[in-house]
Amino acid sequence: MELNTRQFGPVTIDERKIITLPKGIPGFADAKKFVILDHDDIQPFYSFQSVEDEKLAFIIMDPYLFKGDYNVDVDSSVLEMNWTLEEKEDMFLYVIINATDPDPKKMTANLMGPLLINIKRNEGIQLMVGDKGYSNKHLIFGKN
Amino acid sequence: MLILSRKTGEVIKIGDDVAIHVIEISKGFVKIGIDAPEHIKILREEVYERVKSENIEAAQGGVSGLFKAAGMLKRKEEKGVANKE
Repeated sequence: MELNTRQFGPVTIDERKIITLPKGIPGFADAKKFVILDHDDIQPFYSFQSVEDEKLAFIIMDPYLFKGDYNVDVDSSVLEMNWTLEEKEDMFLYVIINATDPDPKKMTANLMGPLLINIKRNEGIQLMVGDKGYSNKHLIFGKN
Repeated sequence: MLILSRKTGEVIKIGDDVAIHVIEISKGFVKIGIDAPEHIKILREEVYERVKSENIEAAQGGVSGLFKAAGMLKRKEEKGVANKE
């Protein structure tokens, strides 16, 4: 399947890798199907590209690369998704990056709303973390 | 919307599994305790709103700054490895 993406132009995606977010993403309730695209030039960032809306994409990354002590409780979301806690090794946490300002020093990560992806089931959910004092605009470089 | 008046110590049940306890009322604040099964998501509305508004903003982001940021992160990683050795 081919997508004409806003960020990276035309890309071919493997339909078996489509991740379903049954609850959508707040702000984009209709966007439920995404793929994770990797591009050598921007690693360790990835593009979380909507399959249904070619113009919709987020930049995501592994939060532990800049916040080693990041710690969120995923258990209630695991149960909400009808996954089991035994599947935790198939689950990966990503955070959405805000790169609206091209200056990396102003680039932020949303630690309040990480994505939890179950790669075996190809399903995901955006968590809401309100009890840890994490910011929705956490600077990746520099002091917060 | 259903509107109920409750005193400190009183409870509202929602369905069979959810109970809202009024713990304390003072100076314009109400302290609430919630009993609910673990799969039910409970959060302050402003958390949801912040995540939502941040999603909308982040979706506008370009990729031009990412190349530089990716380089900065890679250097940080290499430096980390070097420090360990």
